[in-house]
Amino acid sequence: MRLNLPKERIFFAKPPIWKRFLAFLIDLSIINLVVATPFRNILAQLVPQSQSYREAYNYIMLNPGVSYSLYVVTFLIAFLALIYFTILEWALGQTIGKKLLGLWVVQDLGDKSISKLTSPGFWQCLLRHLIIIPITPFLLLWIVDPIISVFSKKQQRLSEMISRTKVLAEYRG
Amino acid sequence: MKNEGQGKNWIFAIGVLVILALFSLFFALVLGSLFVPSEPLSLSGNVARIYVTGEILPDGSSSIFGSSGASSQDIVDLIKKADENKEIKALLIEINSPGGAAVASEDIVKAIKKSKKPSVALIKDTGASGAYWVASATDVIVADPISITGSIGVLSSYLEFSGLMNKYGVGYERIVGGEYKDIGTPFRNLTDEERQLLQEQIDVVYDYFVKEVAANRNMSEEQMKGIATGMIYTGIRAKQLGLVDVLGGEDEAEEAIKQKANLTDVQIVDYKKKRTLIDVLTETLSRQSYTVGQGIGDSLVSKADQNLGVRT
Repeated sequence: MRLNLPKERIFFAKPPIWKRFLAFLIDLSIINLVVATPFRNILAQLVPQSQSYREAYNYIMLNPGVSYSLYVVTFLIAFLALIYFTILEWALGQTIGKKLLGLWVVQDLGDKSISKLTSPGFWQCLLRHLIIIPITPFLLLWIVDPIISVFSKKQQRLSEMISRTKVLAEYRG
Repeated sequence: MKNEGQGKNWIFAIGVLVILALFSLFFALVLGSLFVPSEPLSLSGNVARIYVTGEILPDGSSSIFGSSGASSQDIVDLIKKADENKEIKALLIEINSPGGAAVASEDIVKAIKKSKKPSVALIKDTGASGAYWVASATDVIVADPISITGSIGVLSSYLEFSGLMNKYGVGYERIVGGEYKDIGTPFRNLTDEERQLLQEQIDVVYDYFVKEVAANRNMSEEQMKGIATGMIYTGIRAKQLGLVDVLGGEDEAEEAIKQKANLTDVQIVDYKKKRTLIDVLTETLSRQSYTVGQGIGDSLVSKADQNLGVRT
């Protein structure tokens, strides 16, 4: 006998923090592999082999030219990472990390219910991740931004609040 | 929500990654040609370059707005550090400073003299007054032909606005314990006696300054006094007067180091005060407001007139 069971139901809810964190780690690994790898050679030649991090740090601090070059490299890597997050979230609603963990970026329309899900616009996606760019006011936000999500009801980072977006987890049942 | 066509989504995502990888390769190639040094780097060169840039200030003069001058304490610490490093064979003191506080300048002079390593001063745009005193403590002075140097003299000045106060009916009540306690107050004119006393103090500092510089340059005091009129000299004129040994720039300074330290190869490593992340953030955040404030301040009163401190 074949039962007439309801079709698979898809619903969205606030994701657990670990899922968001893991998705972010996956994205970072991808960026490291795809974007940062070509710059490795430059970094290796800018900062010579050293016995310890401390030695390398001292070398960088004593050589303003090296610090400047490192900053430019970091800036470019961050810029390409910004493109990665912005384009994928704008076009697909997900980065690869989010896709693997079933997370979606949606507009925060202010509704208490989450029945109405709308993909974010390009500028919203850009704004969500703009703090990646290593310039002074954003550097402070690198710490503040994720901490705020822990205390936020909708688990939003500060930049998500500003861009009016949020992340939801997809559940099937 | 764009949750249809999962296969297409993956293709799109991989396409984005491929494009990013290509961009990344392109940028890496461009930056590689711009930034990567042609010579191999070493963690510590054999010559420590220490900068004396801006007004020479005593310890603690740098504020949360960042230091706009050369902190003598920082420079002394760097000289000591370079002196203790066995890899460092010589010091290159790169100067671009109009001078500054007398004691702060002398602190740097003492540190250079204490160092066991040969030292060369390179005067870039300006190396005048206290900064020249610093240069004179090194073994060789190299200066750009059109740099400004000399200005060997002592200055102590302050704004006096008793006339302005009188104009607006503001009085100055003088209650002192010790006759000269308020000497140099901007609220009243100096008496002839006070002016004489202050001049004597300045003369003492001036004589000390001239004696020191003369000794450093192997000149007689009389000879130096003829030069030390407070006048500024170009590098060319300073060479003629014996205040400078070599005219030139970095290449000449490196050559001087090679000769003084018996080196065949000079690898310069910059010695600068280490900046923590907090320093960098604070400096960047405050630089704009500091610059605006400095601009306004400088337009109202020159730094030399702000207090009665003795400046070289």
